[in-house]
Amino acid sequence: MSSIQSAAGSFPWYLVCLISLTLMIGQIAVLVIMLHQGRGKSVLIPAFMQFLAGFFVYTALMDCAVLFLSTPKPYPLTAFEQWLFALPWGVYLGAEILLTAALAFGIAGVLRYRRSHLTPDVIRETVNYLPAAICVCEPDGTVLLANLKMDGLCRTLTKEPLNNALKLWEKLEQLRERGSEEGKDQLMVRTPKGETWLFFRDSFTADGKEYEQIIAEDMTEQHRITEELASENHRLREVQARMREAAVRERSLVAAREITNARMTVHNQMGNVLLVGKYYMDHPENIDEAELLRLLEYNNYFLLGEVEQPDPVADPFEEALRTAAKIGVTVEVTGAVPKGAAREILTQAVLQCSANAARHAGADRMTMTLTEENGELKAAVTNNGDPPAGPVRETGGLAALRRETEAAGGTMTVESRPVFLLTLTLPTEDRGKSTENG
Amino acid sequence: MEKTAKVVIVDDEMISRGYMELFIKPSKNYEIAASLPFARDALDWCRKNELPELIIMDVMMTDGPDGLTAAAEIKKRYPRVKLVIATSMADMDWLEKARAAGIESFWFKTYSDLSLLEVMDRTMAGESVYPEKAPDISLGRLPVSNLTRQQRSILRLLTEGCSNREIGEKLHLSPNTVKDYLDDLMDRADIHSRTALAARASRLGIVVCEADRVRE
Repeated sequence: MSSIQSAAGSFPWYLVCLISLTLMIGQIAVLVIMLHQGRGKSVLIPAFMQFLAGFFVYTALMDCAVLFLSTPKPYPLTAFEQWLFALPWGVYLGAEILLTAALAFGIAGVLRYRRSHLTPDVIRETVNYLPAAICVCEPDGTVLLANLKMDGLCRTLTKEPLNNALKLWEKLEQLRERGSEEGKDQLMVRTPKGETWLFFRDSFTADGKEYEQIIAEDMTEQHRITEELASENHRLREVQARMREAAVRERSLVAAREITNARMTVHNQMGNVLLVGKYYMDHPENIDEAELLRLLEYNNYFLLGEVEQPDPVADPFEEALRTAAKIGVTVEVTGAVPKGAAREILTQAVLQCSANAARHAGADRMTMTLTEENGELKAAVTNNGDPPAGPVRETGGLAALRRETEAAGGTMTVESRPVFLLTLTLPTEDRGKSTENG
Repeated sequence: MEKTAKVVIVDDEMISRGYMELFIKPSKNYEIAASLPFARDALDWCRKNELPELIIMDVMMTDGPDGLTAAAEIKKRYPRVKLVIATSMADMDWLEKARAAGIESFWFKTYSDLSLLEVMDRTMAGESVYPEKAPDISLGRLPVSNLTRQQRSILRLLTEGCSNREIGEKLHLSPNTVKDYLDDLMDRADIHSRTALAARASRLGIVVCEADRVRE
């Protein structure tokens, strides 16, 4: 086998040089990766030795090329160089083969280590892939770890990159969704794009050191479903209130219908009573006068009874309280309920407000507080249900109530925050007229 | 009549039944043998007791067979018993059904010019007393007496909720013909919707849908 110096410049020799260069680069890469992985000396030293070996072989090949391919020769050979370059090229080839095998082992080791150990890269990649946004920081807010989602949220919500986690939390508190129930360390925020995120904050200890973490979960879908359910519940409450009202009215209607039917039947028989009278006049011999008189007496009794009997009209205010109770709203009245026009207006207020309380607020209790001051009666009506979402639109019953109140010389105000409050002020009747407690 | 005739009154409405008792009690010619709430009770009563001479039978019953059906059955089983159909409805087709079943007399409770006692007297005397004309009521502006049998049939099916096509199928008419009939009725009655026409006809008792009458 010829020596390496005789092979210099040949194709095999260029091939070996290329392989040597590639190996060296590979060894450098493996060494860097191992350093990055934080491997111990027992791994790094052999890897470094491999690199040195590869470097030596490559340098030898390059020297050989310089010395034996250039003319004149640049410098005389040392004894070591003479020995080195007299070695058969197979030795260099064998060295390359060994270095290739070592590199392959090194690469396998790197991959194996990567699969079985958590490295900073792995942690970073994993954290970035999480569906939640995460940020870990020191107690003063200095960010130690934050995934791309958290950084993106910070930029979206604050228009700034994530530099300090505590400042981010302060900004989030200003942006929190109104009306949502969270604790001190959690809050719901909606982004300009309509996403809803729930932020949690807590602290933990690791290796004797305190850290803070902020985690955010995407609640957009749940929030949408919750809002849909709330809207559906609201609609169902209205339906339920209407059904209760309808049931109450239906019972009254059924009773009224039966009474009406009975009255109609009786009235329809009036003609037949007269016909019996006519029959008696035509056929007096066929009629028992006593029984006939009994029939007429019964008939007249019924007719007179209808005329004399007054309609038992219950007090409309008391009736209104009963109607409210039937639809599930107990009304507590504090103060003296006046008679006259004011009482009628208060009756309407009870009916309208209790119906609205049941239908829109889900309330089961309503209070009406009556006070008299400077010749004016003030009635404040509120309930224990949900406050209105916005200003109350006065339609239908409320609008009619306002008209009646103002026609009577009074005023009506409706507030929706913090709770629903309807306030009527009405001029009182003459002081001499009586009042009674509702 | 020389002896008092036994009379059975059948009416599911208590007030109506009570009044018929009051009308009949003053008469020396009749004795009330029973006052029953359902037509099926009349059949049972006839089976278990001495037959009455006369039965006054209401048509519409809240339970069991209707009065017309029960009266036809009684007539078939007990031909000697005379029957008077008494009704507050104004369905003229019932007169034909009653005649066809051999029922002696028919009395409109609310619309008749004759008293019940007169109808009973004449029935017991062997006469068949049927109203000569329809009750003096109107469907909107259309007197009920002006309704033809075909118009009543169409109205009856309308109150049952049938479409024009379904009415046509039952009466062997085309849907367009049915539509023409209904349009004509609505024009003459001055009622502007099918629903209002059906509701008004039903409420006045001008037509009674068979499903409401025949409950068995």
